Amino acid sequence: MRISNVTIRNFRQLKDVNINFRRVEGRKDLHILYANNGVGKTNFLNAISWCLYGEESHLRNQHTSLFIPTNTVVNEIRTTTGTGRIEVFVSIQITTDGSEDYTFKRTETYNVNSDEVTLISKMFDVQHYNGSSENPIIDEDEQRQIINKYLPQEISNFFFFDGEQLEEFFSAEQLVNVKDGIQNLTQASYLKKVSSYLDTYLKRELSPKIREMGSDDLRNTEQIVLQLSESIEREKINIGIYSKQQKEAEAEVEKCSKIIHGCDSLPQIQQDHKKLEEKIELLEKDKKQKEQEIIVFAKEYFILFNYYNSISSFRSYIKNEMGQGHLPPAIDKNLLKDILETKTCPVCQTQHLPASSIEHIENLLKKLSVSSNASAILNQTVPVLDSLVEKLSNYKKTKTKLFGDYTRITEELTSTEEKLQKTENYLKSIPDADSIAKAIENKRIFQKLIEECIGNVAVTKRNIENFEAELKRATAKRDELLSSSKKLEAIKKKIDYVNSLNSILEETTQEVLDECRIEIQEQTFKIFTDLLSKEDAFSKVEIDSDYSFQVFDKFGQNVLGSCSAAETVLLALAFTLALQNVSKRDALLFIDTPVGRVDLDNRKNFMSTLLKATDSRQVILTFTPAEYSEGVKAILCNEYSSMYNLRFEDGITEIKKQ
Amino acid sequence: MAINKKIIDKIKQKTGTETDKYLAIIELLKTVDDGKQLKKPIEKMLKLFDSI
Repeated sequence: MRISNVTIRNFRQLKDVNINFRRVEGRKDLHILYANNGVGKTNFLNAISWCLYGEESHLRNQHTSLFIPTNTVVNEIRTTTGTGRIEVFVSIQITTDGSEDYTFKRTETYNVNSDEVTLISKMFDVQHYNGSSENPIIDEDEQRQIINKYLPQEISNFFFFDGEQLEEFFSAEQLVNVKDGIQNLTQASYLKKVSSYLDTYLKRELSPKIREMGSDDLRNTEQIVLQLSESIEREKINIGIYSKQQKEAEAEVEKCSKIIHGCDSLPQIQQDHKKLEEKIELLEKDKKQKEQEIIVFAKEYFILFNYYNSISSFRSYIKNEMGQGHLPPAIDKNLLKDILETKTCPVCQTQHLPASSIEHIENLLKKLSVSSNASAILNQTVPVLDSLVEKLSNYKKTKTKLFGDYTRITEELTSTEEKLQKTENYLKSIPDADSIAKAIENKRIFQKLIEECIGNVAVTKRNIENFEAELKRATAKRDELLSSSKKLEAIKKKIDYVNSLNSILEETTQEVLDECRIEIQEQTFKIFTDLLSKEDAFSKVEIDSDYSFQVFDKFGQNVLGSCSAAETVLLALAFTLALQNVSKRDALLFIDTPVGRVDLDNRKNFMSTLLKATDSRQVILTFTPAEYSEGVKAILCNEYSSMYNLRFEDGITEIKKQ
Repeated sequence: MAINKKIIDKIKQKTGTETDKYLAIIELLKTVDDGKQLKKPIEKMLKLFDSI
């Protein structure tokens, strides 16, 4: 399954955006969105989740976020007509493995006036194309089923994941939904659905017949069987509720612990903050110096290029004259003139030189066009001119180096400034004493709740065991009574048949889920260790039946909570890829700012793994200029099918294909 | 979308020579996959069972 096209209108800063994720032949199914921070990369991801699920899953803060319609359009209405309507829509076209296309389109209309923006209508359309015809899917359940078939909402964070919000990736809260998602991906949900319906059929269709046609004893026994089955079902539902409450309470305890212990690493973070400030100061100095060098370079080469023709022709002239022996290297023109006048040799003082010697000297004199002094100056000029010409020939090399250095410094500066910003945000978010006291109190309450839930689960499990034992006895009695009744023989056979189908379905469900979990566990660890730059740091990954994660170091300690941000990103990616591999559902992978938290050492492995992932699925990545470093660019530049540059102008994001 | 091969193999293995059970379960799974209601196929299955 892949996304082939996304169209967005008036969704936050994305006023009018259409992106076609066409795969280019010979290239990977890899697509890049490139933009500065705040331009709309994450909102592009939000637009997708809003369209599919009606929720924006990737907002930094759900409570303080602005209304959806594009702010500039709202302001335009307010300043021109005062009031008006604005339609927001996001349309996503997907192509499935069976070459069927679906288009999902969510539309909301808002009323705008001077005080508020109010939602007045909303709509969700799904269109199905099977290659020859187009059919609208109107039924809401069917619409939801189609989305869940390809991109289940419960685990949507494992397809559309935000590199900046991965702290929550393995939290108890997040993993509550994973189990349901796995059931959808493995189709264990199909098995459960059939099994549950067969149960319902037994109760609604076959059981009433027994009560209608059977003896009093049989009727009573069947009633007991029915009541016990219902009690077991009810208790199973209760276990689910208690477990969910427990997970939620565990998530709250985690949150409280973060507030309480969040200040543990404060001295280290303050030290890092100082180091980052110092680094920025040095980088700014380097940047200024490079800028000066660039100005000098530009001035120098401006002059050199202006005089290039003169320098070049002057140098050629001298070399030509020298080559033809027209420049006096050792013979002095004035000396030759003296010899001709005095007809005397200046070396041996012989007078009356012969005519042949005079003629030779006259020929020499004709060849020499300048005096020895001038010749000496011209000779001295040659190396200078040579060096100028050489300098000019090095223009490209010098320019590339100078601008390369400048770009590297600027990128490092931007990335350091981003890190500083994050550190500052963290320092600003350190809770005050009241919040810590409240967190301690809440932690105690939630811990008590966890204990209660554990107790309730244990009691409920015991109840189920008792009910099941009673049910076994009642069912045996019922079956015996049924067997003795000729007229109910056919119904008994049907019940036995349905029960035997049900036990096959239940066994298969359990096996599929267990095998899937073990396989995901093994693959996650394998991919994770392949991704890591440091070897042997971790010994295994364990995923329990509730899909809670444990990551063990080589000493056998669970270290998930103390994994670095980079390691968490790598583990999240490993889990996502393992999940998709095992479920044989090669859904797409959309990663917002994938390398934001990944250090330079791990980036190469990370990008190579993502490239490998594109062999079987579509991958869409977003980058800031600082993240799209030379190293990342070198790995991706000849591989991607499309790259879009998002630019923010006048409050609106514009998209340009590169 | 087709039914997961792993599921098909497991059901085949568990039903063994009872082909009618295998076919019945696969039919019901396909019904779920198509997003259709299960009531009619179950009734059809049990009618077939009556005739066996």
